[in-house]
Amino acid sequence: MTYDEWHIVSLAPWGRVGQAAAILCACAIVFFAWRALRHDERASRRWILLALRLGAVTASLVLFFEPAVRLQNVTRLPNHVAVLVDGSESMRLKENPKQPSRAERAAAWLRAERNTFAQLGREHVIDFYSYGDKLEPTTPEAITAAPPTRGDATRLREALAALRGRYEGRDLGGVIVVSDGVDNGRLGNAAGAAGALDADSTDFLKSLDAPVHGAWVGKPGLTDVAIARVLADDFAFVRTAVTIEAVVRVVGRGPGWDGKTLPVILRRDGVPIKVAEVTVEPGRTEYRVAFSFTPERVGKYLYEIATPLLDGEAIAENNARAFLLKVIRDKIRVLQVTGRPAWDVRYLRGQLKHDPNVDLVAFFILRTPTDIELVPSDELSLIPFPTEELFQEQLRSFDLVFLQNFNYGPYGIGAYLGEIKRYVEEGGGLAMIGGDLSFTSGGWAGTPVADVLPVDLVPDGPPEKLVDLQPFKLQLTPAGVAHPLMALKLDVAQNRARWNELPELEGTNLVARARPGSTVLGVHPTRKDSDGRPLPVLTVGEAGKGRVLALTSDDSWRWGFADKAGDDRGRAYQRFWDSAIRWLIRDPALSFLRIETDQPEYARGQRVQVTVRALGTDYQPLAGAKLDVTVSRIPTVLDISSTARLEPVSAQHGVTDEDGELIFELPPPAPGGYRITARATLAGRPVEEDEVFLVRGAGRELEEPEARDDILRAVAAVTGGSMRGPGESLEGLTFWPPRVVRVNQHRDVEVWSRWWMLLVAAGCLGLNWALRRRWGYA
Amino acid sequence: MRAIYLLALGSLVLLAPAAAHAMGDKDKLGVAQIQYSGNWNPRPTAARRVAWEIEKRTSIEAALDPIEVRLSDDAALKRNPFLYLAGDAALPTFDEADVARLRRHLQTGGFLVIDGADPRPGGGFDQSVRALVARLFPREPLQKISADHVVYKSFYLLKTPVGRVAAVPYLEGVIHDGRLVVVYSQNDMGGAWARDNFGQWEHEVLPGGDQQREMAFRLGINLAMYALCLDYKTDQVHVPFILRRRQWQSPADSRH
Repeated sequence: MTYDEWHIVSLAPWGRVGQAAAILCACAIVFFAWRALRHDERASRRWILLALRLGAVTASLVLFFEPAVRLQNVTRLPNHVAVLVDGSESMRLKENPKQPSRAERAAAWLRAERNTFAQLGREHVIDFYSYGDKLEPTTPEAITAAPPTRGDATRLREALAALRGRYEGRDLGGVIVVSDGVDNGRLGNAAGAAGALDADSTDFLKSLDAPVHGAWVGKPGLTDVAIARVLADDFAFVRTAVTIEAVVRVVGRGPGWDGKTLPVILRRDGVPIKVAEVTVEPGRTEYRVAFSFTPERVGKYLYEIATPLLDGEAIAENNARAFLLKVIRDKIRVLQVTGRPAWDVRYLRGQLKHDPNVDLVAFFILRTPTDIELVPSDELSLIPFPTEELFQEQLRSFDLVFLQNFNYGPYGIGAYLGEIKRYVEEGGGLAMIGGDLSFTSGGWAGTPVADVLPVDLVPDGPPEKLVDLQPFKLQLTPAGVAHPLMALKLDVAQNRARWNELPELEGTNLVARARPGSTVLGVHPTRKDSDGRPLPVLTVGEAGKGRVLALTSDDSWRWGFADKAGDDRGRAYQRFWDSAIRWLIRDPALSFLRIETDQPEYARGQRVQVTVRALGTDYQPLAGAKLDVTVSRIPTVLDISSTARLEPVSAQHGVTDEDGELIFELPPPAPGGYRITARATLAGRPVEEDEVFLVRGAGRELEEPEARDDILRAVAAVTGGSMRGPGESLEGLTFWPPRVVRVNQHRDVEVWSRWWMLLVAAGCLGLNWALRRRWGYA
Repeated sequence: MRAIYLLALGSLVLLAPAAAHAMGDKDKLGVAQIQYSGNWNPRPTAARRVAWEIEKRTSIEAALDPIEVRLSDDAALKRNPFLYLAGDAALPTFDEADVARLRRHLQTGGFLVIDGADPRPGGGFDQSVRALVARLFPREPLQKISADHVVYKSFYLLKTPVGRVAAVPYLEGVIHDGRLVVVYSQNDMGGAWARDNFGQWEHEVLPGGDQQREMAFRLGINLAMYALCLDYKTDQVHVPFILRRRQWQSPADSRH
């Protein structure tokens, strides 16, 4: 047996405490000896005695520690070299359609370097990994046979961090990164335009304590136009201007690109709404475009910014970028227009002003042309009635319009009645509240506004044909008892009883009948309409996308003032109008159908779970409700003038469970936007609700697809690695030598158990004692 | 922008397609005077006269017939949100149930105007009013209504509240839940409003004469307008107009 390593060891069994005590004891002996001799003027004697004492102590320590020479026969273990091969989406790109992709070039490179790896394998264990959005072990065979290109991102730093975790406590000799250099992780974000790394990245790379070599498979020559980034918030406020910015990235130049004007289009749910233009300038890569628009309706929408595909473009997928925008309501904007001050006006105003969610704009007619005018206008607080501004320019800024005992005739509003009708049909809310200036009494019969009311008006005639002045108690219809607008109590029976407790109404406008499709919630107890049915007093309906309410009385204020019954004194009025407002503006909280997805956005390949909830009229989960749910894809359209057509991808027909839910999963959908539409018939009425979700495509990977070597080069420089270009040999890359050894055999050769060692100790002590006696020391 | 100005419309012929047909007297603004043991109606024609002025000068539909209510009559209170309490001597001590009914009336939207025909601050009527208000709203005492309160601009632009006399240059009131629920005048508004059946003013108005009487009517109309419109005139849309007119009005006001 031959030994190839040796070192000194202690064979004494005293442990560290014993060894420390021995050294302290030895130091103390030497110190006291020096102290006793320090005043002696005979220097030669002093130094002889001190040397003898030191020699004796040293010899004693050798005997105490029992030193030995350990001879070893060892074997050095190979350490690991990790080869990280970029498996992200950008690796499938071809700079030239006739040439292999980046991934294919990487595979060919690894095949060509087979011998190099074999040589490295003699001293190192070679571990192969693919990385993109995550680090995954692989084999050289798998990589060279079918290089992966499915990663939605390239995150080298995150991959190296995962690698460090894998080799915690193990010997990592170095890393080889095979990549096109595109990085959209922390390194890419931190790196400047020239790949300069920040201090945090540098510290991290140094902490790897291993050289990272770059093997770059990129190539110049990519030609592409991409919607690289979209700068948009997740939500916007309805009727408040929104600006969305996009960065268009033009890489390389295809035939005739310079000077070309590219249209950039913004679509909502596939429908074009805005177009901007970008003119390609020589040498310029990034162009910023901004779209300003005003969302008109609350809801969640799929927006997409796209630009047409040009000749010679390498990638089509990155020419469009979709995002979800949730349009919410800041406040409910309400317009209250009344024909004269009255208690009904005062109570509704009080209700609206007290609601912090309502932004009220009110116009009351305080004086009519027939009133006496005794004083100059300057002594009055009256203001102009801005009819054009209200009913034409700003009408669509309101969620809800109250026409409360208001006759339009004297105020020149007749020209805008068509606008009010269109406003409702486009989704606005309208409530007409009764009084002697309302409905037919207000001249509304035969007007465009009458077309959207949920009741047919009687023709003009004598007063007794237009109003009934007899007090009556509002009678709820079966639909009214269950309608959310009428829910003073959750329990249906209690709700009906509560309504019966409310004060009487002092008269009503007469209407012909409820319009087909509308819902009569409350009727007169005795009077009949033109068809012999109970006279509608409170009726709701839909006109186009909007909702309309007709209350043919101006006495609902009595439900707030004169109602002293019940346990919710005076609050019936507030609840009724609060529910009415929410219903009229289509508050989602009042919907009987609700759709949820487990995420708003999905990565490619993820399954989508859809939950549809049905609620009863009491807003409790409704079991056994039949639902029809369709999922349609909103395809990307690059053609500038086309509108996307929804493509149905799934249809579900089911019944809600005992929790009122229908839950189903969609297999991983293709990238794009999707709209889920659920339909049901609840409480005898058709109900429909929808929701959108987004399946991300290539993510950030194709936003800036051109290959770059600067980041790899910087990483190599910081870690002591080197950089190899496409096709260059990997020979000569340096790695840490193996640091872990295995001891096959060892032998200890004692150096303390020698007779002369004992003699030295005894001689020093004896001579010291003798000289001290002779020289007269104590 | 083409705006139709309400004020300009006063000179135009009405184009309304149908004449207005009132929905009955029950929804009209009625000035309901509170009866109590004692001289509860020192100016018997005042309420009717001011109602007539409200009806003729504004778009408010006012009930002209006198309405009398007792605090013990809950049904009458429920029909009449606008209450008028007048007197020229100390009010009787209302029982607790009456005070509770009146308090609930005011809390649920009612409005009370107290008018002192005895214009002596600290007099019997004044003391009894303060005692009543203290019982109604122990935590919300009578306070001076500031000059910029909407009650001074709800229809007319007013600077100083006056009545038959101008003893106290301010109104007092109780603000509950952000709303003025009680207004107290010590200037005998009713004295300025009162007019007999022959068309004669019943009381001389001092010191301002007819101009002061006109201002007393304007105050009454403003109170009615406030009761039915609340703080409508504080809406942002009114502010620039009112500010401009206040500036124009300042020299004229200095004459009163």
